Formats: sequence, structure tokens, C-alpha cells
Amino acid sequence: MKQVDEETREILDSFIAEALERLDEAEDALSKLADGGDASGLGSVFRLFHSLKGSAAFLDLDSIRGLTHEAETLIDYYVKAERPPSQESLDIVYQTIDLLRALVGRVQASYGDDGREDAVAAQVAAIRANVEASRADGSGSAPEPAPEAEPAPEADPAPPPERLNEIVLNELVTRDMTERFLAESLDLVDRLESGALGLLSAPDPAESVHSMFRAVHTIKGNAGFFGYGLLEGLCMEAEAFLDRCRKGSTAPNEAFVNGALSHVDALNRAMASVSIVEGGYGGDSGAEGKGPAFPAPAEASAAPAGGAAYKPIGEILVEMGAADQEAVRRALDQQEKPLGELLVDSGAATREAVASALEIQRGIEARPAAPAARGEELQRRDVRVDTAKLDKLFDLVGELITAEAIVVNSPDLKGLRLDHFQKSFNALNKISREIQETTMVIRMIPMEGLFNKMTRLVRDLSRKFGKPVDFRVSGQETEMDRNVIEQISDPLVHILRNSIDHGLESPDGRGAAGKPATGVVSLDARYEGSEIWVSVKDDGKGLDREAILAKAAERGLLKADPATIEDRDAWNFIFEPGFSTAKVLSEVSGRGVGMDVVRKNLERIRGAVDVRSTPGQGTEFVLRIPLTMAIIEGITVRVGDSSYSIPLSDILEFFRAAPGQLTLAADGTETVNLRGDVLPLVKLWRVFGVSGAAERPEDGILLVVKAGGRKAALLIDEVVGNQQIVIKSLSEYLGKIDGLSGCSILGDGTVSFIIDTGKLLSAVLE
Amino acid sequence: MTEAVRRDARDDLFIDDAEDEDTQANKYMFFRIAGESYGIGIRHILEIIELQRISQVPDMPAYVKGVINLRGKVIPVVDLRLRFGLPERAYDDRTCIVVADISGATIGFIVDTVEEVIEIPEAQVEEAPRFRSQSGKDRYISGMGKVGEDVKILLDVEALVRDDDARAIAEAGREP
Repeated sequence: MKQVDEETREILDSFIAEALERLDEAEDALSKLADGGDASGLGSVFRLFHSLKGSAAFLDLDSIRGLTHEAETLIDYYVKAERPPSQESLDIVYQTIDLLRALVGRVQASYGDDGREDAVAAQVAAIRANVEASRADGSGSAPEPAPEAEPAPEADPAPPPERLNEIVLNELVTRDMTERFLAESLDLVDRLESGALGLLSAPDPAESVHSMFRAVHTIKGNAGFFGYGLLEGLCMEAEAFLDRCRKGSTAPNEAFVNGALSHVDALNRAMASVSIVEGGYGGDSGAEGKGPAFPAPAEASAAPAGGAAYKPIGEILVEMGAADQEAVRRALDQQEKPLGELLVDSGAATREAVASALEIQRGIEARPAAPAARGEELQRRDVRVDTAKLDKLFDLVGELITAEAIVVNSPDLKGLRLDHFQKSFNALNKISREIQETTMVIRMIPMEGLFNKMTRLVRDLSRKFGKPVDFRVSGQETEMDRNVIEQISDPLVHILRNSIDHGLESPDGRGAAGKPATGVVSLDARYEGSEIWVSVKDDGKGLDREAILAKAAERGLLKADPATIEDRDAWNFIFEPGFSTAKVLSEVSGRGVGMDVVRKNLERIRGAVDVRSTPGQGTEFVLRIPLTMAIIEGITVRVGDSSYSIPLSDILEFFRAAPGQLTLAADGTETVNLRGDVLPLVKLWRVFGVSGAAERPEDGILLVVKAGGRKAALLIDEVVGNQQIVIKSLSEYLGKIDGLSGCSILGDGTVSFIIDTGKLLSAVLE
Repeated sequence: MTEAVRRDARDDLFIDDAEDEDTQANKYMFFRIAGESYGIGIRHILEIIELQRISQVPDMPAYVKGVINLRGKVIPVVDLRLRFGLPERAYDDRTCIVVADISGATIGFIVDTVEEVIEIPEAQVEEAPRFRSQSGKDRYISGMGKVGEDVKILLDVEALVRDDDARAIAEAGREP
């Protein structure tokens, strides 16, 4: 780690923050570009790289400067040629962004961007090759100026192509993703462990085993995606082990628990090796023995070369020649005791060999372990906060605002001239409002981050399966509680995997079905009444009703005559644990675990999932998530003593009616004529049984609303204001109330009820 | 004077927080409704607050007075007088809201006034007599506690919210 003075460190810190932001922006602009956005996006990507290059040059960060320079050249070509970048070029730019992020990570850890020269050189070479190729492609375009003669010093040795390939693959994974993967996997292993420990006393052992299986399966999927072969292999073994119990061939007894725990240990150790050697984002991590990929700053200089990965004891024994592969595998299969003991018992290895293998293993484990390598210093400067704390903060802010109102309205102050007090109060009030707004915003995040992650996933899956996908994303600005977003991330991953793996036909199959070779998968989020709907839709072959019902019958799930089963119920079978109609298990889907996760996670957030499927035309999954903590823009109105809030998007206008505009029919139907539009009049005081409100239409205000294809004028007393409203659900004790989707606390502490316009109108009108 | 009583009750509550479940088990918080003293197991009680602005909720039985904002948490409040089928009475400065946790749900009960916390050993609690002609309120009595010469009514709060119309409405309104 370089020694830097305070000032330089500050500059570097702001550079890091800026760089990470720029890279996010660039990636964002690129994904819009890929969606067919306008070419001006490319210009902004160019500018992002350019300003990054400038800052890097100023700070003597040569690797970053060199890399941004090359990327700039590539993008500049497309900007000048006025054509959209080719798929290959986009890939290269994405990879460059990832590598840049990794380099910025190094800056963060060691205040320098050196140490990744190989990867940088390879990437530079790849970009240059791509620039050449693109020029050759764009035959019609004017000759371009040769790349400036400002080669980055480390750019010279062009690596051999195989090496290039390897790096390119590795660079697909960002540091951030690895960290998230590790955190998530560690949680999952914990779950596996506690599941195993509590299995014998679990009320429903079968469900516990299912949940353990799901945990392992998720780790496996991710490990496969990240290319961690060792971990993936261990997960497969653990899966097979648990599966035996799931299928009923082993009983969930003491021996099973011991076996499961030994899998837990193996996974934990493998995870530690991920963070040290496979670790990272890094191209050069492929070359084993380079030491920690993310040394914590303090260790960076001391990190020993030649660090080795943790290895399972069996592997070490095999390498030592003290036991053969086959014997180890057999022992692993029936593992209930430490592997070494088993091998000794069965005579496959000598006690001495095992002892010395354990020695080696301990030697590896004693090296700076994963937690240190996963040093916080490397993270972006954000903090993971327990949302319970945020809830608490949120409640406290509500209390603060209420208390403030009580102080200022205190009867003790009545009749006093309080010029200074008033001034101080205004200042205080301004601050507390700001605190309130900030607190609200903290919990709500747009779905954009999640959707970007999915864009990336689809890209990778599409290549993996060789199925071109046109991925359309909309509604990413929809805001959702951070917690909820975390809960739907896994379900979305599973649904998208299924859509691409099973839903979409192969390009040939699509051709035969008369569809364009490129499949369309769309991801959308929108507010729908009191819910947020996140939908994933593909135009693939649709669900196979026959196969699903046959499988359901085989598993004894079918209780009625298949012919009488509604589609809806048939589709529900796919959410059963272990349900899969796939004949071939593929690497990422097919064991029928995923959809089970979808339903579980949604139930946890009190949501639901709908499936619609038409044979030959495609499938749509709609995740329906209740708006527990969502924020909407709303108008708050007063009716008698009560406050109601109406989503701004439902409101067309409001006006005070003149007597001439109103008509009361003999049957009691009231309408109002608004510029020739005859609208039904809905008196909110009557609908909600509020007393003390303006009962006659001409005494109040009419609010014109539109929802669910209906239009009406709502009679209210007055409009109080327009504000961001945090939706809270009403107590379960009160149950669901017709026409209301929840409640909200206004700035002055009063509770206002949020009107679900669609439901209100359909309840009141025919 | 109201303040003093309330503070006493609170102090007792807070001391109890530190004690374990066993010692809480036999303690009851008593409040008065229409001249009669009722007790609720102290482990259910979260806090006692002054009466505050209640927002009326549509479509509710009369005893569900509405909801209040309890420091950012919106909780329903039930008027126990009306819940017991007693005549309504104007609230005064001794009227309190007893905030209780009933199997995870936070609910406020409006009572005439809060009295005290008393420990009644299990041996001193007798089963409530059951009359054929029982009116609504008696179904929520879990027992009768003897304190010296006095006999005090102990309420089963779970029954208070479980077995009632609001609950039925809730069930009916919930989507399948």
C-alpha cells in the first residue's frame, strides 16, 4: 500500500466515488442503448470515459488512464460512424467497465491502480482488436484517424489468445457481485446449518430438508454462474445427499444430520477459498498462487505469493498419492465421520498420510482468511443497515414531528408575542421536515438496480443457452421498499432462468413455429391498485399443461380429474417443491427447486404470483406485491374530520360545481355535467359514513378521478395538499376496508386513509 | 392525580420489563369502566397513553373508534365501554388508552381510568361463574381474582379481539 498524505487521500476518495458513479452511469447508458435507445447515449458514455481518463491521468493512475483511453477510442469510432455498436463491441465495453471497477477497487484498497497489469494489457489488446474489427465492419464509413500514439506503457505485450479468453470470462464478474454472492451464500450456508441442527426436533422435518435443499440449490446456481467449480461441485454433492432424504430413501436421523453438517463445513471452507483465490473479480486470479485478490490494505504489501486454496482433505490425499480418487469418492458418499477416519478405517489410506494431509490443510487455513480478505475498505461507502433500525428511525421521526406540533401549539404559549420563538421554530421545522423526507427516501429505492442486474443476467443466460433474447425492461423507476426488493430478487432470477431455458424455444424451433429467431422477454413493474406488479413475460412455447398434469398425477398431487382442472390450478403445480417436468437437468434450471423459492419468498412478503400461459404464445408471471411501505404522490383531502389521500395519478382535476351543473334524478342518482361530460357524483362522506362533512355538492369540492376505465366526481370538503405519501397497511385487526388501500401519517401526525380509486369506483358504481 | 396514578402504573410496568416471565405472569393492570375494576395480564400491556386524536375508520362497528398515530405506528383503538355494550360516555381527562400487544397485533383500549398493578397469585384466581343469561361482556372474563376482601374481574384480552364482529369482518374481507 502506498503511503499517501491526507490531502491526496481525500482527492483519491473523491475520485473513487466519482469513478464508481460514472461507471454505473455508463453501464446504465449502455443498457439503454442495447434497448434501442438513441445514439446520444453513446456520446454520454464517451464523455464519462473521457472525464475518467482526465482524472486518472491527473492522479497518475496509469492502468485506468490507459484503459479508459482505449475504450474512448472504441466508442469514439461508433459516435463518428453514427452507427450503433455491435454486440461484440458492447461486450468489450462492459468488460472494460468491470475491469475499471476492479481497478478502482484497488485504488480504494491501496491508493494505487497497479498490480493488474496483465488483465489491463489483455483488455487493451482486446479493445484494439475490436476497434480494428469494427472499422473493417463499417466498410462504408469514412477512414478513421489512426489511434493516437499514446500507448499505455503496460499495453505492449499482447497476450496469446487463450489467455485473453480466460480473462474476458473472468472479467464478467464484478467485485461487487462476488461480495454479494459471498454474503448471500454465507447466509444460506448458515441456514443450512441451523436447518441441520434443528432437524431432529423440527415439527416438519420434510419441510426443513426442502428448505436446506433450496439453500444449497441457490448457492449452486450462483456458484455455477460465477464459475466456481469447486463450490458448485460441493453443492451438487450436498444436493444429492439431501435429495436422498427428500425422496425418502434416507431418514432424517442423527446420521443424516452429521452428514449434512459435514457438507456445511465443506461449503464453508470452499467459500473461504473463493474469497482468497478464486476471489474476486480478477482476471489474474485465474492464475493460482497470486495471493489474495483483495488484500486488506494492511496486508497488501505483506501478502505472500504462493498462497494456496483451501482444499478438501480428500483432494489433498489424492494429490499426495496416499489414496485414490475412487476410494475418496466412495468414502464421501457415505460420509458420517470425518473423511480421514473413514479412509483409515477402510484401509484406503494410512493414518500417517491422513495426519500429514491434515497438517497441510491447517497450513492453508491458517493463512489470512476470508473475512480479512473481504475487507470493508474495499466496499463502496455504503452501509448495510438492519431495516428494523430504519423502521425505528422512521417511527421516531413521526414522533418528533408530532411532538414538535404539540410544542408549538402548546396552550401555555397562547396570546404571547413570540417573534424570536417563531423564527427559531421555523428553522427547527425546516430541519425536521428534511429529516422526515430523508428517512422516507432511505427505505425506498427504485427497482432500477435490480432490473439492471436482471439485464445482465439475461444477457449471460442468452449466451449460455445460445438463444438470442430481446430483453425489454420498463417501469424501473417504480420505487419499492428495499427489503421487498431483496425478497423478489431470487424469484426474478429463477423466473428469468426458466423463461430463457425452458420457455423460449431454440432459434430453430422458433423458426419452425413461425416466430422470429430472437425471443422477446419483458420485465415490467407498475403500481396496480394497492399492489406493485412485477411481470416477466416471454413469447416462448408456453407451459406444457399435459406434462404438468402428468407429473402432478405421478407425484400424487392431482386430486381431481385432469380434464376438469382449470389452467390456473394446473400452473400452480409448478410451485410445488421438487416439481420439474424437464427431462434433462441443465446447469441452471430443471430440478424444480426454483419456482418453489418464488412462491416461498412471495408468501414471506404477503404477495402472490399469477401465471398466465398460452400454448405456443408464451408465459407471463406476475409477482403481486402489497404496497406496505411504498411511496406514492398523492393529494390529501378533508371530508368532515377525516383525511383521505388519493393517488395523484388517478386525479384529473378538481373544481367547485355551480348549481346548474348538477342533476339529481328521481332514483337518487346524482351527476355533474363537466364541459358536456356527465360524471356520476360519489359523495365520500356517504360512502365512508363521515359525519360533519359538507353534504351538498355545491358546498364542497368535486375531484374528478379516473381508474379502471371509470370516471367519477368525488365530493370532498376541501383539498389539503399535495405530498409524497408513505403507504402503511392498516392493522390486520381492522381487516380489509372497501375502497381503501391503506393509511398514511401526514406531516402533522394525523392519519389519512388512502383511497384505492379503482376499488372504490367499482364498489360504488355498476 | 390522574398523572400520579398513571405514572405509578408505568413505573411498575417498566420495572417489570426487567423481570422474567414468571413474575409477570401473576400481575395484572387494573382499570375502571363504569365503576367496575377490570384487569389485564401485564405481559400484554405495552404502555398507557393519554387520549389522543382518533381518526375514524369507515365500515367499523361502533366500538372500533378508529386509529391513532402512535409514534408513527397506526394502531386501531377499541372503546371497551362500547365493547361491553355499556352506554357511551364523554371522554374526560382521566380517559386513557391502554396499548396492548395481543398475539403480535398492537391494539389500544379506551378505558375510563387506569388504576394500579396488582399481583394476584394463581391460587387466588377463581374461574368465572357462567350464567345461562350471560350478556356479551362476560364471555371475555378469564377469571375472578381475590385481593383481600375484594373480587376483581380478569379479562381474557385474546377473546376480546378474537371472538368479535370486527374479526368476522376482517375474515370476510380478506381475499381467499
